[in-house]
Amino acid sequence: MADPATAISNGLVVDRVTVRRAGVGVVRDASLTAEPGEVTVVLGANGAGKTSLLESISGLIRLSSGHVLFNDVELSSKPRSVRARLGLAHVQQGRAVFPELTVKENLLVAAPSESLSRAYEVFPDLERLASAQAGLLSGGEQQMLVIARALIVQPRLLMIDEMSLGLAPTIVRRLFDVVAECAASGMAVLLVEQFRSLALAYGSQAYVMARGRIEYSGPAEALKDSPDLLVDLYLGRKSQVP
Amino acid sequence: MLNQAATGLFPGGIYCLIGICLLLVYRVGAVVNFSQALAGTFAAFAVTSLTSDGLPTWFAITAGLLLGAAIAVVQGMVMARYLIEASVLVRTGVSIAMAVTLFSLSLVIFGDNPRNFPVILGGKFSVGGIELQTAAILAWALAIVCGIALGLTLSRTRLGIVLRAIAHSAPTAETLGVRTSRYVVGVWAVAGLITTFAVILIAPATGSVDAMGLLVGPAVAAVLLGGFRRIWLTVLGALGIGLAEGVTPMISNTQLAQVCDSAVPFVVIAAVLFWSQRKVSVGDIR
Amino acid sequence: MAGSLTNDTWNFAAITAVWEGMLVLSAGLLLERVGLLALCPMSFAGVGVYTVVYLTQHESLPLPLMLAAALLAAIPVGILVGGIALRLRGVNLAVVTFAFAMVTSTFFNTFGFPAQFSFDRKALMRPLVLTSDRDFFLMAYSVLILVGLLLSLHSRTERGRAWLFVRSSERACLATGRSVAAVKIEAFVISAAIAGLAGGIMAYQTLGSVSPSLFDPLQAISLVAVAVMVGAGSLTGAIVGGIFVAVLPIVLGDIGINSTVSSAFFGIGAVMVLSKGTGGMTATWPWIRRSPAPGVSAAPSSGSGTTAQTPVARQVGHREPAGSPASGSVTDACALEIQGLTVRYGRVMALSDVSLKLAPGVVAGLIGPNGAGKSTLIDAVSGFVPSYTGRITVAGQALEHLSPNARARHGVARTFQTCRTMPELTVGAYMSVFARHHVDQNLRDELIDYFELPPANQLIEFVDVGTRRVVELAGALVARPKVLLLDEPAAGLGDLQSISLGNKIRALPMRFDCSVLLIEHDVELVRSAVDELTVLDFGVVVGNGRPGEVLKLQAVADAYLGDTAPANPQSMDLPGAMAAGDPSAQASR
Repeated sequence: MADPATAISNGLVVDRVTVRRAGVGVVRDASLTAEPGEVTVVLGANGAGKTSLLESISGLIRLSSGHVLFNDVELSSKPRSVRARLGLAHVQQGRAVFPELTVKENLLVAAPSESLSRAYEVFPDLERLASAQAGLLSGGEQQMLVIARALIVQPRLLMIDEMSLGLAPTIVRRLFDVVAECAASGMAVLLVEQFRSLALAYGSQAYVMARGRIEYSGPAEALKDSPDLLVDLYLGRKSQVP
Repeated sequence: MLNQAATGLFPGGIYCLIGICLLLVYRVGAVVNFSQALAGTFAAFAVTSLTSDGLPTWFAITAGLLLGAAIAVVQGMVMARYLIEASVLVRTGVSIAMAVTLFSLSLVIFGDNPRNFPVILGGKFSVGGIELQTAAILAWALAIVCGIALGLTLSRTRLGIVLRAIAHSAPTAETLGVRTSRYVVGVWAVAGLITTFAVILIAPATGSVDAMGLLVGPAVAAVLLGGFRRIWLTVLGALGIGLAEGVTPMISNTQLAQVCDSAVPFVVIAAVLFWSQRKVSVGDIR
Repeated sequence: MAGSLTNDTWNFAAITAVWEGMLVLSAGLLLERVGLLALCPMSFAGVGVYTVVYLTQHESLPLPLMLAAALLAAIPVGILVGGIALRLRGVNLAVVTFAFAMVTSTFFNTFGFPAQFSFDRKALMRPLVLTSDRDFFLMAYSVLILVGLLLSLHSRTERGRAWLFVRSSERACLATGRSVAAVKIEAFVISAAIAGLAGGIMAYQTLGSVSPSLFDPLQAISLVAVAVMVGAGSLTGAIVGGIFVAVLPIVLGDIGINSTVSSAFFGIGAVMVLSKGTGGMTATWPWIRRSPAPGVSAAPSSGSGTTAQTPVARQVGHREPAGSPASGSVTDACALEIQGLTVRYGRVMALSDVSLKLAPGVVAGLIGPNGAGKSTLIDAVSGFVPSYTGRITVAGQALEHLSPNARARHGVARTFQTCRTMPELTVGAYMSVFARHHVDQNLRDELIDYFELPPANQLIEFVDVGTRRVVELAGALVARPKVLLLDEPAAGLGDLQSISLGNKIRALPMRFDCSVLLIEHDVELVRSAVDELTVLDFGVVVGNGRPGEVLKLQAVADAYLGDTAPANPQSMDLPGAMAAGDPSAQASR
């Protein structure tokens, strides 16, 4: 697996990032890469710091030290909207729709109406729901909406935080299919997940976080084949950073 | 009795205009802007300076409108640049401090002596035995137009969609590439422009920096009646408050009436806020 | 240069500086020490002025009694506004008090003060010895100093420190067993009294002819702006503020600048202070700046504590004998018993029929994945859930219908996920607020020793954030609770510190005679610290028993790793379920 310090001219490089919230180190010295065309997953129990890591990449919170580079551009000093326009899409945990806007209006926030068809191609259900109020949709529909909203601008890095939380398995599978297609079309995809099975099935690279640190990095295959190792990592028993 | 009430129509229209601006700035800029009327006050006084220098009224008023909008832009930029992460309370505190600054600058630069404010639209006319001021009609016409325009913009245009998104969650909008600070400053500018016009319109009737700055009080009451959300309830609220203020002199002698007049916004504000907090339970306090 | 200025002007201005300072103090103590933005200080002062002028027309009381009357008359108005503050918070309070200031201003401008324009008006007479402005100023200044000293004394009592708790978080105050309402009313009473006293001095300054224009709301909020700018919670801030307001206009006028510019200056100053988010001018002055306690190095509040601040006895794997009875407690009843607890937020079930027993002398752990309901459970026991079904008893006493502070007084102590300590208090001062009736110094010192905390006279400002959470824990124990609920106490501690804390928690029942319920994400810490473990998933108990066994359960591994559908089908795919902001989806970071 590539050493983060060597320059990768495409994709995301997170280099020894530390994030503090109210003085508490929620991410400590974390390094990872997410390359275009691959699905990279970050696993870990809750409280491990996965969400804070994503938020520091998209700029929702500040990082205390370290660097975030995307396509060789240093991101940490740039405001959030600039990072978004550089091709970063962040789908936040908890399905952050704009509840009082309709489905169509939610999409229009991100892009002009000409691009709407792109969203409807990926999730035809959304076209049917176009004038429904986003706050009244079911969990699965909302998740489709926020992913569509992120995809509509054709980002180059797609980060999704806990996509499967609270959703039925069939819907989750469909979402993962969409995500895999995105990767296949050249996007870099970074998924944060608490639930491992589907994430490892679709992912190529995997990282496991515990207590703010990256405790494991390697091919997803390896973790799929050793479930005990994963349980140990989640429950904080072992550390396997090569 | 109806004539009495009708005297409250003019202030009511002004409260409505200022209230709509307050509502807009609150929803998009996340601040209760105590200084809303003071940028317009400053501009109104500037207008009198220009007219007393001999410049034509229309020019002076146009310059005043631009000045009011410019002051609002500066305020919006301060908010967008330095107070992005601050809470609504801190931002409101800043608006209070800005009010103090604008208030004293107005006094310093223009003094508090009586001035000749240009009367934009004078005269009265009678409708079915009730006397109405022409300016009142203008104020309400403008308020209705603004209300409709605001409502339509918010619900039908892409600009409105983005504004509503920012009102719900500015950070999420930013992750979608929206440059929220531009929108916030733009909203401040529009609110500043409209409020300046409203203040200039009522200036001949009020006259002092104090009174003009304090137009914000009843305007806040009107917005509260709309729950700080609904445009049309704000409009109705302003109408109600204006009429109530018009009517109170009938209830008692003039001295007490003045106090009652200023008590109307207080009572409305207190009642609405208490009512809105009635369901706050122990689980909500932090 | 000073040609137009006479001693008279300065003496008069000096008296103005005193009452302005008192008003700044009145607004500042509400804002800085309780966190309440009240825009009506002049209204309280106006009551004081009115009282003195009124009494002059009808009685002739000596000066001390007049001032006392002014002070006392303002108190009922203070209680009225304080009552409003019980229900309205933050911006709402600011708006209402502003409207109130508008009403009182109109009142004073319309009616003036008693007999203001009457020919029979009796002028207010100062005592012979205070006829000169200079002498009166000295007297007034002494009163200001006295008020400042009394406030300073008050701030050193537990009641005074409780104000800071309310400012930090109302929940934190309730968790110490104190009533937030009592604090707010007390603060408003004191604030109004000081403002009323200032009004009395205003009246004497002008011999009863006070200008009503002083009470304009815009002037009033200018005071608040000054309070913000100087950081006016303390006497120093008040004196500085008063001097600013009174003297700056004169100085400006003297050099040819319109004196009203000073207000503009205050406004800009306040904007700058608020934008920076720091505490105002006096907070940054060198001789006021607090310094760490002597003998302890000034460790700045750095972050995660990976470098341990205090030496840690490395006790990996060391365990006390399991189930040792708490010394001295002979109770049959469970320390904590939860039966059939169900909590609903809207349509989502945060907790569903949860039952849990905590025997005396036991440390129990509670773990579970995202949104499982752990914090909701602690909130329910400590009284922060508005309605639930089920029964919760502590040492045999049912807790239903008890407010959070009543529950705290019945022996329920808790810590919070976000640390709520106050940087301006010392470790010892913070802990003593939790004491019920009087502070047991021995217990406090014992706790400081036990948790290896910084010394009692160390300011929390200089304690690193991870250790602050342990200070919060220790504080909760000062009240000798029967049950201690810990919500992720080890977050932000380094690995060694976590282990050490785990061991200390393990021994708490033996040392301090309480039972502990511990929520933690760090499963290793939980495993070593607890006697028994409960696992929650989607609001339902999925495992209960000894840690070693429970953690081996497949159901538990699945709950964390998510191979199965959630046990509670109601939480699946509901409209808007788990939407951002839904309290049941407590997104943990």
